[in-house]
Amino acid sequence: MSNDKLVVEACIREERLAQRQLYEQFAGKLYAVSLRYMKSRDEAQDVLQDALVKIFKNLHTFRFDCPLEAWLKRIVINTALKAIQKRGQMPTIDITDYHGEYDENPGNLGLENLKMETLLGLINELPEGCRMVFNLYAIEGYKHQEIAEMLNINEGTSKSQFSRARMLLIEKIEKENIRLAKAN
Amino acid sequence: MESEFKSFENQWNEAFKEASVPPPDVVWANIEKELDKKNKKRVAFFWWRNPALLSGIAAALVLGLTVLFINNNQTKKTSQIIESKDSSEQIDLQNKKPQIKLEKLDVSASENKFFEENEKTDLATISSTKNKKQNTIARKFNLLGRNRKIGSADASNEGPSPKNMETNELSNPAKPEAVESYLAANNSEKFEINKLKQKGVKYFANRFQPFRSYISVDFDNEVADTKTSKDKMWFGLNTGIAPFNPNFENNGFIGAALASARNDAAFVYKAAEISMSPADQASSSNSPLLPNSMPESSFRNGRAVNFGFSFGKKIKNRLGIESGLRYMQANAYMSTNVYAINQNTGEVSSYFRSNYLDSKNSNTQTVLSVNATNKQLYNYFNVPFLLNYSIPLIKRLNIEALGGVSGDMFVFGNFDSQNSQSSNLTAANSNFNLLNISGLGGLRINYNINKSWEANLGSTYQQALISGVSSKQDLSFKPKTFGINYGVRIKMR
Repeated sequence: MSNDKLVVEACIREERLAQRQLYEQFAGKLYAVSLRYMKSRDEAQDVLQDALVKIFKNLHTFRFDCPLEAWLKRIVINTALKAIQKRGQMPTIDITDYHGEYDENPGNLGLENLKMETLLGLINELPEGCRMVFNLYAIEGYKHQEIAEMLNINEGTSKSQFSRARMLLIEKIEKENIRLAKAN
Repeated sequence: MESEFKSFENQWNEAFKEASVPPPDVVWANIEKELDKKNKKRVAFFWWRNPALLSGIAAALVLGLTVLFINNNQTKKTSQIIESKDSSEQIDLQNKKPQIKLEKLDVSASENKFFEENEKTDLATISSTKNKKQNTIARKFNLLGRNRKIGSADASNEGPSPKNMETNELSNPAKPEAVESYLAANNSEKFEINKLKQKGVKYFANRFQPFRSYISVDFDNEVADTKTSKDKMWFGLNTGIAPFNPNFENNGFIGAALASARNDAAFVYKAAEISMSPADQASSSNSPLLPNSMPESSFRNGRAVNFGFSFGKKIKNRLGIESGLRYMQANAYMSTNVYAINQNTGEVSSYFRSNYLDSKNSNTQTVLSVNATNKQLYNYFNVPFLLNYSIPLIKRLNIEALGGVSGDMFVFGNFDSQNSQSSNLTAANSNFNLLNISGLGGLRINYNINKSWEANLGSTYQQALISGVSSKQDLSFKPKTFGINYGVRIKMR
């Protein structure tokens, strides 16, 4: 029996030490996910906290048919989306925002040279709708159609928001790289 | 060079693949608090849900009250003896009490020691710094304009700025240094979350407000989305029992039966002579007919039993479709005093059956006679097509609302009577329609026995949408049932 399974089963039995172990094992990764979606650290912590309470409460529904980490991340993502939706900050379509299909490869962005803090900062500076769509599409790997269903928006809106996010991020990364080059 | 060929999305995906940022300790502390709250509630609920425990409590209560009652009755008679016994027992108890207390103290002390050792061993790997802990605990949350104060936090007590802390945490994602001993934090600081009790004002971290916002993504969806298809298909065996109302409506029956009886004048005269019913004797003897006995045809409910199999599939998180095959046998009772006698064969059947249900026109004579009860039997194959919507109630239990239609195939019917002959009616030799449609709806409670099996119990209402009889006369037959169904089902991949 895998270690994950043992821990999960102990968590289902509500053994506090196992719950702590699961927390220690995944909280960091889940917090990183939450930070990508929420604008502030406090919000990200609240989302993480809420998601983990739900996870511990509903762990019995996990059937080990996918990696535990993926399941946990998905719950954090959905909790974050729900929190954003509660604030009514949903992406909306703006014709001027739509930049059409992009076929130009931006090349190497040099993300590996940037600190995690900087990367998170760049994402957090994106407008709310752009950030959600960017996270879901670029990092989580959902398709625009799936994102449209998840957020109850048009597929076009999703594409538009991603296009905008992509443009903004490329600009920001270029500036950041120039700043770093000057600093060095 | 390789990265130049990676798309924009892939570069970001890789950048965050192993990203990890240690959360502050206050997160775990709050989670633990929430979990403790839930445990308390569950324990209280468990007392009420556990039938064995409830039975035990009830038995103990009854026993205790009985003993009290008996003791009270006997007190007067044996007061002197009891008093002397009580006084000696009280002395004994007083002598024993200190020992019991000491034992309890010993046990609790050893338990605490054991627990502490366990906790320390388990959390040994977690490093901590006192300053950080205090700062983290002392942090005030100000989220969405809703203040959330934690513990006896003092903002002025913050040492290094939060920004510096964040930088430290982020720059070392692989080595979470900011994680501290939960035990130490829990002992030194007590957290209290000020709940804003105004309607609709509360922090969203631990619970959600009830109103549904623009989009609903609730936890069930979250879990369901990540589940496999194991819950998506199921196969079940089910059975049910219900009162059965044949729901015959034949408004012109009395007129038609009377007219038919009067037309058969020859028989009416004979009937008058032999005075077939007590009512006939009381009638006016001047009339050559039988005006006194009114044709009657009334129905009484019977019961329907069904059994069969069903299968279903989830098409969305909570929405599913299901179908299956059920065999239903139902009975009902008809009281009638009008009969039809076949002039060729001499066979007697009820006028209702002969005139309304038999498809072939036979040469019959109608007669009013004594009332008798016919037992009717109906056999159908049902193929339901249902939509179900499931709502989780509590752990392992959910309720499903069902609705849809059923294709009903008439297999055969039987009209048994004391005064008439019994024979099977089929769609071929009667006016019963072979294929019928009925609507059905109901509620069903499902209980998850384990990962694969589920038991269900529900109530279903079913009524024919079109008449089950194609009669030239004014007759409709729209049977209806309203009863319970139960069964088991296995969930498949």
